[in-house]
Amino acid sequence: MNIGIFSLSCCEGCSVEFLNMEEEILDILNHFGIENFRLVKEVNKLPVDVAFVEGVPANENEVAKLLEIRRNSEILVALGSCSATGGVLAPGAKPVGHYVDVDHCLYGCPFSRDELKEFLTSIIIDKAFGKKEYSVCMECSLLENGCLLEEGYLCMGPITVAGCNALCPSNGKPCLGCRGSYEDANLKSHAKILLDKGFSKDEIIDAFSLFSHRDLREVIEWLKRR
Amino acid sequence: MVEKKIEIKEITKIEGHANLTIEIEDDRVKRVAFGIHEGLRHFETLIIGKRYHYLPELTSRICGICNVAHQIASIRAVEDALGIEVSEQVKDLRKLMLISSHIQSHILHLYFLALPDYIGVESAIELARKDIKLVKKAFKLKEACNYMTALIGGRAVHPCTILPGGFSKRITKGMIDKYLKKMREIYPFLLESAELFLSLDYPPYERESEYVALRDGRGIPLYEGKIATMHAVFDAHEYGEHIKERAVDYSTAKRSLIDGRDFMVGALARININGKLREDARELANRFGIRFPSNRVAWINPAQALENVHYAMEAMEIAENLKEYEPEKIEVPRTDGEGVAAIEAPRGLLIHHYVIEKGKCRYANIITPTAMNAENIERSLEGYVSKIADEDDGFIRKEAEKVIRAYDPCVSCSVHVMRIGKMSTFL
Ligand code: SF4
Ligand code: SF4
Ligand code: SF4
Repeated sequence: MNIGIFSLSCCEGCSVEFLNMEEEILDILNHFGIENFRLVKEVNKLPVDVAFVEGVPANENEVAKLLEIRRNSEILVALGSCSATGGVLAPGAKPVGHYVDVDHCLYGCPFSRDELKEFLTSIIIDKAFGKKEYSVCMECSLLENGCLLEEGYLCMGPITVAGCNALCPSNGKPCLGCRGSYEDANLKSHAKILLDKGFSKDEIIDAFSLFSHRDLREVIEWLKRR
Repeated sequence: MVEKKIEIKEITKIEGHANLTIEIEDDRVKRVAFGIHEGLRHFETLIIGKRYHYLPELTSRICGICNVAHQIASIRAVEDALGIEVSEQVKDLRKLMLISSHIQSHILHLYFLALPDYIGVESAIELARKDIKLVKKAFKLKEACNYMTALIGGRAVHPCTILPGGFSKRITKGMIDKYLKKMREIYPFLLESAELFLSLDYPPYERESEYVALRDGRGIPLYEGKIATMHAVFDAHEYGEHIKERAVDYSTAKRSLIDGRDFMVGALARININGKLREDARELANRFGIRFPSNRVAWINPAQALENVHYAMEAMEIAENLKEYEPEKIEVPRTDGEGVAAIEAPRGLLIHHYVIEKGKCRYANIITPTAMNAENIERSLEGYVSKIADEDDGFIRKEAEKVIRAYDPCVSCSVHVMRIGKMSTFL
């Protein structure tokens, strides 16, 4: 099995995070060959079995490149929030899934290394890999962090898909929603709770548009109309 | 008339997407174009209208490698605009983050991007098959740096603890000690790695150039200082009078000139401007016969390796004297103002400039190191290729790539801007 790490327009933080797996990369190399990784390789080949794509296409050239990657890969994984949801670039850009079929998404800005390991393991042992169906709040309460929302901060944890082990709240900062929302998240009810807590409409729209602009478009529109 | 054209459609082992065209006529260089063809990401427009405390989070996403530098430049510009006080302790903690992420960026560049050129392998992955020990060492150094950045920042890529005036979490004595212990642990390897990168055989090309870096008169500052060239020193707030940006039609990224000249920023510029390497680094430079100021472009590599030693020493000194940090409520004196911050990112000077009104960003200008270096890269290529124009294409190509990689260009950084007009030369 071989893999490729491809980069469209983005900060390349996900490529860097991939390299940050450090010695685990050497383990990965025992199971997979890395055939394509422009950041560190001069000789880059297609096809690959698993293509990890970070970033979004920002011009026709990159759209063509994405289509080529799709044609030449068995499994295509959207690596990181830019690719999976548009991430911070969402107001001006469309996620990879808008152009091609995406088999799996690894959310987060950058993606979570634990989740990537989970994913690679699922491939090696041929097991299903799916999106988590619960919120960052779940992880946050398990860690027994004090709740920042209750302390008066605008936290996106209640509607954001788990998988980062509530990284930001565990570091004293409210969740920005970088992983996007989970399947059954009640987006409107979260907006209402925030309004009840005294946050202004404007502040909420600001927070909702940071990372998950596309997912939250409807609620943002609904807030604007109120 | 003999004409030849050397084209590299996609330069590998740099951050982001760039291409190179060299046209040679009768062994004379007619044209060199270092073009960036990555899509633009409109960051300045993305952050307009956003609340000030989101600016560091958003601008962090300009670059996955020097995001700590972007975050700290951003928060400093916000603090400057809104008159927020910053304690010496907070500055020291920020310096520790800057240093560990700085060293990690240099390690990534030196071992994974530059080294393959000098030992004739295609990549560090190929190198791992030949010399697993060396690659493991590089990974260990990177891992250690990421660990240190994450101790303070929560994580290494896009840290999540930086706030106006401080940090969102308590930074205990235990964490600071862990940082110190780790830095002491890797220090011998940083010395060893400097020996390796000081002994490689670099392209000899030299070109007289303008250099620009922060200066504070005491050391080689990363966090704050005045902006210095070889001829002038000015306050960061006056950057607009000296640094002018321009567009070229074969590149999506802006480029800058200082007082009308192309210039170099980064490790070599920092040492050229400031001298003042700490003892161990100075001793190494002497031992390998490397003297500064130097116009030898490829010495950016050894300059980075020496910086690793220099800044590691600085970090240990800071950490030894640092007390536990307790988050406190920060006073924000005003909601309107204009702020500028100039800091040193791993690849060189970085400027963030905002106008904030009613707590929201109304104007933003960000000038990145690679935008500043782009013109200098091209001039150096022109100069060097002119000297080797009669060699065969393969050699010219290899040497040109070495020069480009020495600058450690970060294309992701340089295409954050909006520009009206043609998107890409390939369209
Ligand atoms: S998801 Fe975040 S870290 Fe990854 S490439 Fe996009 S902006 Fe960078
Ligand atoms: S701090 Fe945020 S993520 Fe944690 S429990 Fe409260 S709302 Fe949820
Ligand atoms: S806590 Fe929220 S913003 Fe932070 S990493 Fe997790 S999903 Fe992203």
